[in-house]
Amino acid sequence: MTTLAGLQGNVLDGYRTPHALYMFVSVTEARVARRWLASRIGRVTTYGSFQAARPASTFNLAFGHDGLLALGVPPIRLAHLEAFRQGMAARADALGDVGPSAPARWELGAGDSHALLVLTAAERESLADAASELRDSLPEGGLTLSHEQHAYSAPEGREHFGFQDGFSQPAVPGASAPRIGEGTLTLWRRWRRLALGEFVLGHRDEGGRVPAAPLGPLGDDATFMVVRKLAQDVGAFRSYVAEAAERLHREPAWVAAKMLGRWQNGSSLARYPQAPGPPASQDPNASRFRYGEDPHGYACPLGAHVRRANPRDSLGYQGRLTQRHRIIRRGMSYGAPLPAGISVDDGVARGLMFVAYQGAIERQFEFIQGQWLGDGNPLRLGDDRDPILAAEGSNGQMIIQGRPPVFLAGIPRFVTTCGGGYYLLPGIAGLRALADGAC
Amino acid sequence: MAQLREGREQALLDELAALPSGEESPFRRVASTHFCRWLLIPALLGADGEAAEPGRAYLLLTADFDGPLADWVAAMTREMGPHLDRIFEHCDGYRGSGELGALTDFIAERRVSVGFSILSSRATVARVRSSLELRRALREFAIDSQGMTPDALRRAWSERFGA
Repeated sequence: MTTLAGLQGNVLDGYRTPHALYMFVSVTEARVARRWLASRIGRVTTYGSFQAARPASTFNLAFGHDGLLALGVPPIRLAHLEAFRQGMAARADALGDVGPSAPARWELGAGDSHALLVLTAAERESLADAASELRDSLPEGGLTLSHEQHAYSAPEGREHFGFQDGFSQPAVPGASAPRIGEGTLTLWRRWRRLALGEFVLGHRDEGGRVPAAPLGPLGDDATFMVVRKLAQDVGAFRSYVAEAAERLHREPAWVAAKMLGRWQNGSSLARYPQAPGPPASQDPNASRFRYGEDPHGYACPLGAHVRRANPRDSLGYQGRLTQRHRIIRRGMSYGAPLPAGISVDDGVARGLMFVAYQGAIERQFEFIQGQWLGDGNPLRLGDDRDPILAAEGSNGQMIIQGRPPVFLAGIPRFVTTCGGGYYLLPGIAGLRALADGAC
Repeated sequence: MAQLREGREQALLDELAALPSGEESPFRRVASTHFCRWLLIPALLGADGEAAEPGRAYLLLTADFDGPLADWVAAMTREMGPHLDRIFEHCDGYRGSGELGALTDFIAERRVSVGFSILSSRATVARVRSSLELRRALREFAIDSQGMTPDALRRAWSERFGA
């Protein structure tokens, strides 16, 4: 039986804590690790506990397929979960993780680890204290740290390319205060929340079915977590945008906005095609738009990043072709920002720790990544790919629809995958069963 | 959809897995093929969710192609006959690709009616390819000619595509 009481935190409602640490770990001694887990369950931040009282730091943990096996879960309980079983690296070709993004070039320990421990805190010191305590517990807990990455939410929520991020999260039951336009459309073109099963296992999804889950308690109040460490070449992005703007006699902000689909303050081109509107973070109507009202992409280009990632009703049928392909994003930046005005890479590692939650990895994250971002055909854009995320092997082109249209060419690679994995974020009952060796 | 001979699932899977893909796919040599895929169906399930015929697997060939079935089978046989034999020999009733009419009959007798096609138009493969080439050329021209004056644009168009 599933109740949201056992769901881990940061899924339905984001913590909005500005500091985070991701620890990729391996299980070295199963029995000891289970004991360590048992001692930690009481510290796990849940959906309910975070709502009741915000702790100084949050703690959550997720497990990869091989990590669950290492802890004694019988393979038969997971065998039907194809993508989860194979892991992200094995599916690299379909995700566009080739060339510099190929798993062979990922940072050591940053891919498909046994487990992922995530700490967040409002204060840097609180995170440091929690991290130190957790790190110290690992060797005696039968666990080895393989990779660690600090992350943060930049002021105003801007990611490294300069855009305010994190808007238009799926409206789902249990999430507090979703904004109009963040769910899915009804036949009467009103917005409603998406079915909980799109994101939490054990509940009915938009197809009226309960999504495939690990057998037994591991499937209760659980969700699948996709993590990607994405390096951003900010210098290349700024250079390209500046050159294109000069060539097209436009402002760099206009070119960048057309590529992304939002202005830098997060306001959507669909609502404000000519100039930025109010900052999305302060605008209750920031997500209140339909791409169906802009069928030719004159306001927001058909190939713009955010329109590709969530085409809403672009494909017709009142958005019913897109409502099964949504993800909850909880990404945070890492690495120091490139100072304003600099368009040359300074050698500092920076990027995004992309985190997404969903009920079905194949149908949600992989579909978005492979079909909508990594291809053009599903969106009637030929072989154009996402201009921000998917340049590898692409034609490097994008059409900015208009009268006349504008063509971007020679778009280089701005983002490189440096690691990532598929994880299960079990509910509290699943964690207990795992600790007891009873899965 | 052809029933497999008993115990041939793994051998068939190995054969399908060994087929070259992408540019090297043997399907690419059959110019009238839009889309073609082989699927192994381990069991047909009844309404109760249980295998209707336990132990019997099927090979499903799905294809969209131009022209009549016999012409397509002839082209398939010509371009990938040995591949066809190694795959279909795991099926009940297959007599080899050497006898053209027999292979067409083998496929026709096992044809399953479908209610849809992945094709969005009735354009032939050749027409689709030429349209893609035209799109590529037009886009290249559009990129190169951005910002040109009307006169320069007209001249560039004539030079690239003729009057």
